[in-house]
Amino acid sequence: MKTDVLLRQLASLAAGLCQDARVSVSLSLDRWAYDPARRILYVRERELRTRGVVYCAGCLAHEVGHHLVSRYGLFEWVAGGGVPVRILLNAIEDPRAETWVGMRYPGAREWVAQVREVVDRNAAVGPMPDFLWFCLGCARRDGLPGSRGLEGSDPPAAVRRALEETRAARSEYAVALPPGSGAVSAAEVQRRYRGQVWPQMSAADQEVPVGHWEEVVRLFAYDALMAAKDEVWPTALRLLEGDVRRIAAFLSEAPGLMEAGKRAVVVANPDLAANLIRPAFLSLADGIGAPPGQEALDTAEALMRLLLSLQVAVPIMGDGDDSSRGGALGALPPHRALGPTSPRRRFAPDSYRVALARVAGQVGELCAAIEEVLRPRRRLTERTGYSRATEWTCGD
Amino acid sequence: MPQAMIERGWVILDELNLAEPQILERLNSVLEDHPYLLRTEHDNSAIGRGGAPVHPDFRIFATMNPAEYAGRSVLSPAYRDRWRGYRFVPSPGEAEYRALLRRLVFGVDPEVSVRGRAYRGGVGVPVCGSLAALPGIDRFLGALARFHCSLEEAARSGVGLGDHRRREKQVFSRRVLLSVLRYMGAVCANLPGLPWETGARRALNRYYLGRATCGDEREVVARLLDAAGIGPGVWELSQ
Repeated sequence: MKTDVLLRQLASLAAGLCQDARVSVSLSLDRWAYDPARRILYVRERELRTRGVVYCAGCLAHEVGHHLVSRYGLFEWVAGGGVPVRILLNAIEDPRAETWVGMRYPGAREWVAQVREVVDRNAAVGPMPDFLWFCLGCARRDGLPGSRGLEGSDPPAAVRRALEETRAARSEYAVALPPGSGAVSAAEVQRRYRGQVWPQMSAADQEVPVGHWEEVVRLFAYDALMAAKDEVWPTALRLLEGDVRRIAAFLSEAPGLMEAGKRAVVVANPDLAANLIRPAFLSLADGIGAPPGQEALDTAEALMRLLLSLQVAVPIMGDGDDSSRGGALGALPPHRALGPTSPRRRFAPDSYRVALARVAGQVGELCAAIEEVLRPRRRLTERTGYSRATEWTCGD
Repeated sequence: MPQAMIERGWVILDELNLAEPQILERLNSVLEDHPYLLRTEHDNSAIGRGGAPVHPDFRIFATMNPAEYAGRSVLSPAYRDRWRGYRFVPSPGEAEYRALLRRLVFGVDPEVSVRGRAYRGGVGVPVCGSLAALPGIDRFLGALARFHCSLEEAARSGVGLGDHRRREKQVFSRRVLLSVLRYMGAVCANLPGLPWETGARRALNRYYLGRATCGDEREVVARLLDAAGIGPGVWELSQ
């Protein structure tokens, strides 16, 4: 089937599944990506041709799930928590978004499962910080029903324990979802939204008025976030601190390493940081020798921050490259976290992008309205023909 | 129109933009601040401006669907401007379709809110009441509403439905929903031994899949049906 026909089919599915969200689809030559500001899903042409519409519809359904229920970015705690919090939430939000899509569109479950299978099969996992292992396990629903999780990989024992400890909380997070039918008591929603949700939101988002359904969505996002904050984040933080101590100990082994680490921090080069600290995670030993000094800890923390900036920089859908599809559904591409280079690195959004993202919906609607006005109309007298009789005759 | 102008009538011009523009322009003078009509087709007598007085309670209203609906003409900006009070009604969404279907099957009117005040809906005589007792019918109605809304949006987007060479867009209106329910009712009445789900599948096949003009379009419709859990590949009625 021709690519344009496939793309048209996919675009129709996008319009249908998103309903009034107006997510459109466009072809991309090199990678998958989702532009939340313009609400465009970029589909890698080769995958559309080779894997077909159902696979791509699975990716689409996943993004639709995020679009409809993922709201953690609105909350002050997330904004103040920095990159690690966002990485963790991005990871645990995946199962939540997919559960929602499965509830709302039961048929889409199979599509998403197909994508998951391909992603899990193709994602190579290499040495990386425990924190990232943990996030990967969260994104892959480790320990949750119907998921293979980190099966086939060999995460450190501390990560296994952390995943086990947080299983109940992650499970709770994944099902903290608005009811599919939309029937929620308006008074109760309004009371909780004003009393609990609204005060926790960032000042800019507090100013934007929203409708009843959006309040419902945010309310459930808030409930989910509280579960993550109290029961998942502390465990993740413990692993993160362990990673920092491990890097610090490694840097303390030789003065040259410390200097190189400081240089990487000064030039803010995540790839350099990744290369430098890679050996710290190659060792199988969990124990650390002498406690590292404050200087080493500070440098290690800065290096870790740089390293994590690679993770948030990766586009939501990951790259289309088969060897790096670990990032395809919003999961982390772990082997690249410590890889030698990251050719398609993205940077954290600047103020322009943040501003654009805030008004993107209105810009989109304005563009649609302008296109509508400019579209040439056919006059009544130019109409010809009637619908074919075959349109109405079909077998049962 | 002359009678309404003189005798305190209200005139409603339904589907205004289905009329030819030159017919619409005939009403220009009636839409002025001081309405006026010269009956050139009759006896050249005038209403207003020195002719027969226009009743002060004379009112004129019009309704229309968006111009992208088939057969509608686009009103000129000047003509639109003559109509001073506007009320835009947004397209129905999933919740509205679900309420419509529940009204048809259970006779339950939805609760509505006007200017912040809620009005509880009553219970009337359902058009397709024979379906109300079927187990799981309410969930089916929910899935059908979701699917119909999805399909309508897909058709409206104009990217994958409709014959692109002939530039004919597909339109799935509320009539299709009614047809599906009526068909299901007929199947239940005439083939009592048949599971109602079979009747529903046949109805969906007949009124949705059957309208697809080509294989690609049929695939899109089938996938949207599957997604909603009422398709040829997936039958799962969610809550």
